[in-house]
Amino acid sequence: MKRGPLLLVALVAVATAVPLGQAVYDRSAPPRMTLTLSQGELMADWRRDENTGVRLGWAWGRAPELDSLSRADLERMGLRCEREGYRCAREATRRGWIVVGLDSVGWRRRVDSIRAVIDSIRAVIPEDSAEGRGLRDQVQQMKRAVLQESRLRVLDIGTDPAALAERWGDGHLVLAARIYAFRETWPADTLRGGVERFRVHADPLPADLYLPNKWAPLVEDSTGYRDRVYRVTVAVGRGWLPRVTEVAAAPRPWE
Amino acid sequence: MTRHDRIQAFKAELIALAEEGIVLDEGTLARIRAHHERLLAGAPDERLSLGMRLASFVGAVALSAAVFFLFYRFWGALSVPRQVLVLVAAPLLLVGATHLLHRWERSGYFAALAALAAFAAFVLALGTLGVIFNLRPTPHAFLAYGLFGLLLGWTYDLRLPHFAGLVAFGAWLTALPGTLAGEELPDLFGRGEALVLAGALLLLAPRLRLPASRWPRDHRIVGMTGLFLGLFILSVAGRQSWLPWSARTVEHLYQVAGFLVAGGVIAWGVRARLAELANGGMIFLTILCLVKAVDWWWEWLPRWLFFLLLAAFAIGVMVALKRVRGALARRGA
Repeated sequence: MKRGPLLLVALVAVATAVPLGQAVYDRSAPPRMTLTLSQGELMADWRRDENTGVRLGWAWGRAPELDSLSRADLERMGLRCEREGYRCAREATRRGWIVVGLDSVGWRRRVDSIRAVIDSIRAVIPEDSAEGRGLRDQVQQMKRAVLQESRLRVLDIGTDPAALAERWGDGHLVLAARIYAFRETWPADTLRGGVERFRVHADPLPADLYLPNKWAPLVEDSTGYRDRVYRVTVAVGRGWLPRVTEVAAAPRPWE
Repeated sequence: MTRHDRIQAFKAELIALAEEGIVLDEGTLARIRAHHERLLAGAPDERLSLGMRLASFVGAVALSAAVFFLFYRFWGALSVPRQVLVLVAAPLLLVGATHLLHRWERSGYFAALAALAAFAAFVLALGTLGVIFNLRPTPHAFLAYGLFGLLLGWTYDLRLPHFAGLVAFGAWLTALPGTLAGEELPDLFGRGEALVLAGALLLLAPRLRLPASRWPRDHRIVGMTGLFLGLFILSVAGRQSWLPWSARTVEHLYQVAGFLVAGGVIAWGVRARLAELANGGMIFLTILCLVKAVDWWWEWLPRWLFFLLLAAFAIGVMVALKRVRGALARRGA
């Protein structure tokens, strides 16, 4: 093939232009929506010398699912379910869109309550006394809540990202996802008078976000000895691609 | 069988005939010997050639792995524009290296090494660009990998990247129907019927005598593997099927289809003297029989009887293979 080398060069150029073009289009307008998360919701993966790139993976306090859905809800999400079995297996995973947001109410109540206990113990008991052990336990609980508990929730699932964005607005993210359905009530719902209820599970795509190297030191070893606490701002661009737009170190509330 | 192999077999037969008392006259033998020496004068030593092929394959795989790990070792230290530059430049540079090595050494051992590294760099480039810009995984990347491998193979007459390209192209064909139906990765690759269709297409491609069907044997191997894998998946996991029947019915249907298709492939292999089809069909038939034997008998037969039946089956397979080999030899004669 005489033109083979030229065709190979053209193929490399075209194939790499596709993802680059998608990225350029996505960033050609201001972000559609942004959301600021913590290390509890976007965790830095374990870093090894063999792979020096850093990615932040979605972490869920509760499974990324919507439950108690009707058959009409499923159809609205572009899903169908056969009569047989818990998993609607004949329909494999589908392309879809999810809305994610933060549910901070319970988490904030718990952190404030631990903070109040810590403050009251510190006010009356020296840390090196036998009762100081109680203080250390409270600090550990605070660390666990701040470092590891995720407030991230799936709030909605649909097939049209623009409609979801309009419905939920800024302070949420619309992300591409692979979704699949389960029957919650089988086989009871096959009996006369039984009511069908379904659950839909969603995994965001991609499963983690790439972090440009200028922010890598801020998230390094966040779940190890250094206990890094950070805030990550994630934006969704014109082409519905998520990206990290800002990372900042945050104060440690237990200190 | 190459001309070199046929000449070696002919010499061995002459020696055997001489031991049995049948000898050609000296003049004829001298003419044959001189002719063979002329034919083999330019041919490389077959043992050396096999060693080179093996070393080239191992080197190519190792070099491809090195390309992957080298990039991942250092990409965290690079800014995004530099990462993009490295990722786009690497396959281009390695295609250039393949081109130069192909011109420098026509046998292609060194060019194959560089070509497989170029293929790995191309896969790395598309995969990592997707990671950097948080793109959704897409099966269409496999079309690009497939075309790149096939083009490398056709351009520089290299079988290894061509084979890798065929596998990638087959993966894309498998994923295509599910993609059009709105399904997501990775389930797209587990759809039995899609695998069967993609495998059958690749298997039949050489019969269509397309100019692109270079190395028809590789087409047949990749196609047959896809076809059998699809039938196997459907025969044990009917829920993966597109057919609207119960999983049990689908499994039974594809078990019967598996036996029929394996028999057909063996017959085709024997008739057309294609050893890879005859042997591949036999292996698939054996696996299918073993799986069904466990399915049917493991629970209710005593272990000794089960294994005795298995041994009897193995003997049956040996006899069948002997017959297949005999049929292939008779066709070859």
